[in-house]
Amino acid sequence: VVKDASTGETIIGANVVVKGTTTGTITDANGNFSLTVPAKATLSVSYIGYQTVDVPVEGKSHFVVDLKQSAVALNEVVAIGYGTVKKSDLTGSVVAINADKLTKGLATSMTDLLAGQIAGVNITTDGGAPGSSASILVRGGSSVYASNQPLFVVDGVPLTPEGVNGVANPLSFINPQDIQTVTVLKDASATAIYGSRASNGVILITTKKGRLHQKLSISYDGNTSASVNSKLMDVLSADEYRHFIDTYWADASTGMNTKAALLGTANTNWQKEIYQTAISQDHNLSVSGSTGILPYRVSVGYTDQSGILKTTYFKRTTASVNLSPSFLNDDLKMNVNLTGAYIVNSFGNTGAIGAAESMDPTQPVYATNGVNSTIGKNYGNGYFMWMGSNGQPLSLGTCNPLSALTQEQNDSWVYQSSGSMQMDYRVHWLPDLHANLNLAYDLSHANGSVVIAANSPMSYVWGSDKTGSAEYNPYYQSKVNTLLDFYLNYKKTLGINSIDIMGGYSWQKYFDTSWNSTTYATNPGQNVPRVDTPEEYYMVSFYGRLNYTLLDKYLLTATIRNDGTSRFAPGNRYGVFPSAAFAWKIKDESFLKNVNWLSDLKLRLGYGLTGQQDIPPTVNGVFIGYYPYIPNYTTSTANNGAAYEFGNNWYQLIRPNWYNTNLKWETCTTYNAGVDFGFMNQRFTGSVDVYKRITNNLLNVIPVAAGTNFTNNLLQNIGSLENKGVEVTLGGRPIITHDFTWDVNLNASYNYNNVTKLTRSGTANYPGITTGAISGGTGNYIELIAVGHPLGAYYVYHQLYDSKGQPIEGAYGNGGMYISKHTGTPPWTMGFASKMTYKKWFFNFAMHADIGNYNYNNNAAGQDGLVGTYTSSGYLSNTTHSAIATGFNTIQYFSDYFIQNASFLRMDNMTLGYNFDHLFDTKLSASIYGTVQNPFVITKYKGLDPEVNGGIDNNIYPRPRVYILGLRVNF
Amino acid sequence: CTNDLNVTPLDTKVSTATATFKNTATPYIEYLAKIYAGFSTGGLQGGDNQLDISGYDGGSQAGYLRPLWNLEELPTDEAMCCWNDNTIQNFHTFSWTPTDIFLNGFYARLYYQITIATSFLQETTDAQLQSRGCSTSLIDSIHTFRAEARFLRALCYDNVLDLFRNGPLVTDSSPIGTPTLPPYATAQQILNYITTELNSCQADLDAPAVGYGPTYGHANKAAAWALLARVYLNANTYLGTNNTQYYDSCLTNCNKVIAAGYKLEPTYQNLFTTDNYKSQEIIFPNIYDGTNLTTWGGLMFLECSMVDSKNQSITNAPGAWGGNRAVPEFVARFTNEETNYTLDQRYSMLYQGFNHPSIDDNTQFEQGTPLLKYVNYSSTGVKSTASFATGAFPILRLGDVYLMYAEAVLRGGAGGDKATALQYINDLRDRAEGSGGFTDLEITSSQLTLPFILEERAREMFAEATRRTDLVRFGDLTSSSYLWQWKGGVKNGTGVDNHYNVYPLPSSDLNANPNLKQNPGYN
Repeated sequence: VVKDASTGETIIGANVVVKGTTTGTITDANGNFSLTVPAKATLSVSYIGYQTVDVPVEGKSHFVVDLKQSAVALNEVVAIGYGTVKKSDLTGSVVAINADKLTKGLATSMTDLLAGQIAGVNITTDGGAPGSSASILVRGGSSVYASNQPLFVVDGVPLTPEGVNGVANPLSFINPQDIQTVTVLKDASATAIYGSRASNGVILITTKKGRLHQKLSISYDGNTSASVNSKLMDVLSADEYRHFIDTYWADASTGMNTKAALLGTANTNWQKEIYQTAISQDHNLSVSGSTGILPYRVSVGYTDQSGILKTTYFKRTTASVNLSPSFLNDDLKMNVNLTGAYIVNSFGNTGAIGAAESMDPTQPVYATNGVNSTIGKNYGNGYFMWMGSNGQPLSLGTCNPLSALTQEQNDSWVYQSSGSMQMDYRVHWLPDLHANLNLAYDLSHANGSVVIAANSPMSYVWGSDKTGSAEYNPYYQSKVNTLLDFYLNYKKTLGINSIDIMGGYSWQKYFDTSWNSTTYATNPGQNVPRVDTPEEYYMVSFYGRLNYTLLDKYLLTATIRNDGTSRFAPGNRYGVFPSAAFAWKIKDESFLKNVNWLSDLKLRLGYGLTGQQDIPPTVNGVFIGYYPYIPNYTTSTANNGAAYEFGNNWYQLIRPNWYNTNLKWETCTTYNAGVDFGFMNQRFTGSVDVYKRITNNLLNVIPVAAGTNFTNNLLQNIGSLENKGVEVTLGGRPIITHDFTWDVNLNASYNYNNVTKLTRSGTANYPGITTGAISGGTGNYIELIAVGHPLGAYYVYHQLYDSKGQPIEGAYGNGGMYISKHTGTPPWTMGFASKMTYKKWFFNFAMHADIGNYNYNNNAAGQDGLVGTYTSSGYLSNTTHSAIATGFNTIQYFSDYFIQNASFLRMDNMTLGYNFDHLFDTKLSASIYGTVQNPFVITKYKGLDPEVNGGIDNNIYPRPRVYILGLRVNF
Repeated sequence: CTNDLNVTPLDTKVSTATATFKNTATPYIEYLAKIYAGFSTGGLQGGDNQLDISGYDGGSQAGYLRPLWNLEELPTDEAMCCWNDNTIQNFHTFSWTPTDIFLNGFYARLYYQITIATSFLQETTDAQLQSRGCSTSLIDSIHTFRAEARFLRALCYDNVLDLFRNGPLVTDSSPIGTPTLPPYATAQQILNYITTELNSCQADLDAPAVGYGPTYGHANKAAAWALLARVYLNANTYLGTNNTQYYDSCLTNCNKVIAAGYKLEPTYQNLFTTDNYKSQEIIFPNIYDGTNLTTWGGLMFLECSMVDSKNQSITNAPGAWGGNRAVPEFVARFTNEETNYTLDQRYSMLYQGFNHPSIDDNTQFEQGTPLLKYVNYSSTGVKSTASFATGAFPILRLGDVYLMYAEAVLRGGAGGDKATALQYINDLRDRAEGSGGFTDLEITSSQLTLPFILEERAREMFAEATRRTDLVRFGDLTSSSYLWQWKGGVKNGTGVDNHYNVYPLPSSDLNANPNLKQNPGYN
């Protein structure tokens, strides 16, 4: 019989193996097992969450094996911000994930690891570009214009939210291989300790460290991969297109039959011209161990990821050093972290994707365009380009898609470094008191440039000059973030009471300076004078937390934080953000103590107030800056296209900028109730959370009364919105046998977002704030922020259909435009991860689904207008089979026909691998694996890819299918 | 360390009022330059970047001239647009609403200009200038700047009055940067404010300067007179009155302008070239420059939106956008009304190359008649190679003043006579024939009637952003007495409700400022 050492309950499904052999069994429903073994054998008994026990048989035939719960499971420590707690003592909605245990594909940043893995955390990558960014929404967006990104805290250091120019994803500085755990704080009772920056959740990242007395361990983890494009747009082939032009533009009576003369004789598949099979590699080497009192870990990583769009790549070299020595008989523990990264990014011109769709397929890739007799010039550097009847390039003509990639270089070179020194001192004469000091910096330094070759098609069509001259647009940005954090922590248990009090002070400075060349230089090597725009802001905070536990069953947490920011005027500068949470370990009550099938039951209730001051640099076209409350003036830069002529002199311009002295924190109130449960000795676990979040005093850029400020849309604290939702997480091991185990994790969440107040007065005639700029036309928007609707609701016309279900062009239902109930943000999100092992084989997969999201198919809307195949400035454009099926002659941007169901289920990755233990009779172990990332998507969506960040589907960089071959070796 | 929260801008391009304005002239000139430049480009950087106004496209919606042109020309026979830009087609079909983005954008521009002009005045009072140690001569020159700011503000209020009739009134005493809401002003109140301001600011404005000189670009006394003439000519329309005293005042101001020495540009086309700064006819220019003052709106739009690949080489437009063209009824203002229309050089600006003057299908740019008035070459034929347009748009010019004079006389104004009016009109028509002293297009006194004035205004002022105002004044914008293709959304045109004579106040401002009232007919 196998039993739990502490409770005496029998354990079902424990592994019993004869040591050194593959002979074994598992315990039955009563915890019993039977096995025929040699007399001198040793039995090895193991079960998840328990320490493995070796039992010598010694001729006995009956055993009672007591398994002790392993410290890791029971006492697993979870970071909660300025401290840690045991997992079982959590009072808030907190999810901690061990990064090494995630099933993963090609992960260049943490966001690639976490997509679909956590209930209530919706991660959408911006597309398939190497190193591309991702949007992360924790429990829906709580802000309209202020940032909706969660706060990232790496080893105690909050990161700047926007990253740096030249790197699409600020999290790509962190090599995912260096991440130990990721902890997501979801509800306000957990996040409020981060006060003003915590409204959108907090993600705590802990990096890997060496351990005291650890033996030298070297590991290598690397892979090589091939990315291929999985889907192309269904444009017409050259022959189909010729036929289309001949028939569609056939009316001689209005002179419309002349368009066929523009057709060429080539057969070009433009999409095939711009995509490639991309070979990538990733190598990571780490050494960890302990020299005397000095545990260490050193790692280096190199990622060379090529994109499927030609000329795009992401190259990253990272290095990190971690030292965690202890001094003074362990009274002083230090942790020193130093990391560096160097990233080279080649972004390519993603406009090539749209151009490849609309470029006339009858035109050749390469051509010598007509020589202009007056200047004797060949246009286009050998690439075909559209020419006007005047012998000049057509500035509105589609740019040759391949040339857009080869004739433009859009590169960045970015250095990043961060370091922290954390000291935890246990006061010698009062060991219950700890003092913790954290000093840290985080700096990044980016240079980049966009270079367009002289006389290239780009230089006439997409450049800023459009006269054929070369263009060189360098840019630069540097950010420095410094932090000082100090807190005292006192823990004491007195009988049935235990308390844990923490109080601290934090000082943080953010500085950045940036510049981009506002006038293009014509010589790529030209030294363009740099005019920096430096800015800084400070935050000063006081915070405290009390954890009180009664009878180890009733847990109370209260936190408070007082944040001050330099972004607001003195009177509005400070905000107080309190929270309270209560947890009840019901399982530990006497009436459940003996219910064996139930291994955990805990109720959590939480309330908290969090804030928001993090406003992106530019909101809705309004530059915010770090001094929005100070009346100030900006002078235009010389040679910048904005000066005014008096007499014979051009004068620069001085502009008064908008300001708002009344700005203050946006606040978010969260209520959360959750239940954690576990069955059969935690073989199956789960939790359910329900929440409601109300954001008030929204930092909102909304119309201000005309004539009262130096703008029409002012950053103001007006408006409210709410989010309501449910989250379910389930995990378990449905199968545990000696040879075969199966682990599954499932999460599902639902969030409902609703704007409840938007304006000061609230006139019924005011429909709301237009947003969601679309591609096509000038100044067209497709979304409306309106009271009673979720953020991102589409604002469209009700399309009418004929009896065959065909949309009738220009025929719309009564009432003009209406606010759709659909948005691009999925109300339902789900994730499913599975890990199977059979002997030394393992097979893992992860998938995620978004349900109920609708995209505005901007790509189709822009194509579905057949007269657009000819543009009056004199060129042809390709169209799609679906546009012909739709049959619209004129583009109908605002038809709800283009609001299309984009629910999907995506298989993120599938991995099959094999583990080698004790290779060559050494402690060398290895595993090799093959992974397919993004093998399939199940969807009804008509566009290229249903997973679109924000829902406006317009020339997304296609997510490739990636075949990965990987190797992990540990010495 | 809580003192760290008291920050000041680090960027040397950004500074507070005390750091910006001291006792030297340059910052005051540059602040004034911003008010002027706001009529040309949408922001602090060329191409309408670093926008003043947000939520609207800088070039097409939030500038000054392009939206003004759209609001003045699209609901008329002079322009119909085939683009899919948001609600742009609603103007020609008379189906605009208070949420229209073009209306909202232009209104935002007008009040932005009004606000910075007001702020300029609040920042440059004598007391402030003295406290900063400005010299007496500097204070004197700033008095001129202040008068110009008042002129520019009045110009915007004239647009408010003409397009929206009523609206918020921001004056020198309005607190800017506070939540205090401006009051609602009726047409009468706005009209009074404009005339009072223009009449009083004249004293400090520069003397009229004809042609190019050191005060080029500054609004002078003649600009104030010409604007007053325009306001008085339309005053009865704005107020719904029939008071001939307004025509008297119109004539008084026309006479002052004419006496100042402005001369008709000998060649009509040269009013619209890259070097029209030389013109002795333009009273107040709206300046653009291919490198120093660039925009996607303004003159760039006027040059590019009427051309496509077929006719781009005629004007050397910097782009071929293929958007606007006139409907056949406008062409008839020449062909049906003038016997000798082929001699009229203004008629030669009507592009005939599409051979399909009727707009049967608005998706086809090659239907209708583009008006190729604005050209990107100089009076001597030198083509500009810059990627943006160069030249000035004449906001006020002598030709318009002549037409106003004649109309005010015909409407019974005192201070002018019909013989002089006839002379002015024939001067315009002679010039239209060319600079060779022709007289073939001259008319007789009996032909000089009010209906003729409207016809002549169409021929002389087409595509200069006055057509809607003229049609409203003559009662033809909404009526069924004059119809043109697609007026009211019907191919052969239909009369529309009279409330379309005035644009609605934008719903965004009605919501932000409860003092305001929506114009009749809109909700």
